[in-house]
Amino acid sequence: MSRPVFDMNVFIEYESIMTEKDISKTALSAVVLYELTATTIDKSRWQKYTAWRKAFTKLDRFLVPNSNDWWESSKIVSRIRFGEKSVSKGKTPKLPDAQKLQNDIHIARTAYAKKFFVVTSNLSDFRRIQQFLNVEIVSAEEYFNSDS
Amino acid sequence: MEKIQIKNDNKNGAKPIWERLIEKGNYTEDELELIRTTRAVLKVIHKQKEEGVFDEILNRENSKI
Repeated sequence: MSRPVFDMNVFIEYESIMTEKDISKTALSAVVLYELTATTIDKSRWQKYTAWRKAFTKLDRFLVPNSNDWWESSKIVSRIRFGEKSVSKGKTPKLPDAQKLQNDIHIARTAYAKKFFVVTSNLSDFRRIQQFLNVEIVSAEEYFNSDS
Repeated sequence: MEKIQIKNDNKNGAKPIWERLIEKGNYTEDELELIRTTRAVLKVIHKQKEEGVFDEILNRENSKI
């Protein structure tokens, strides 16, 4: 079963309209949890994030990049940085700041490994990653406006 | 005989969502725990948004490339 993996911006921008159905289907990226919690200092908030992580872990839906994911992600960063030939679109422009995409690449890579798909409101960065990784990307607007 | 008053934390008197879902039988215990903990985290995220905690991160996110 394919599952949505929400990018960090989805939790921030769509938190008020997420339904129980949306929540029950999702998998959580460790990278997204890191981004959400890195600015948290309040103890009670930490407890809530901790319980959240445990709930995903128990269902085997907590996606943590393993050594293979790190290796493949580094290759993708390199290909984007030096503008290597992509899977489907020929040569892509060089991007010296490709390292900034590291977190998004980890989200995409761990979703890809499980045959899940990424839901994001930042399509442009993920489209660039998609040129080197055959992962399905869905815009958050489309996802939350569909009935399925 | 004295009646027992059951306290309900919801302002409108409705049952919590996971209780209603249990009654419907649509979700496993683990999925209900996922829904309950996610709801709690979404409230935290909402407060963090109000505090402007994510502003810098989102600005960075939008200007990565």
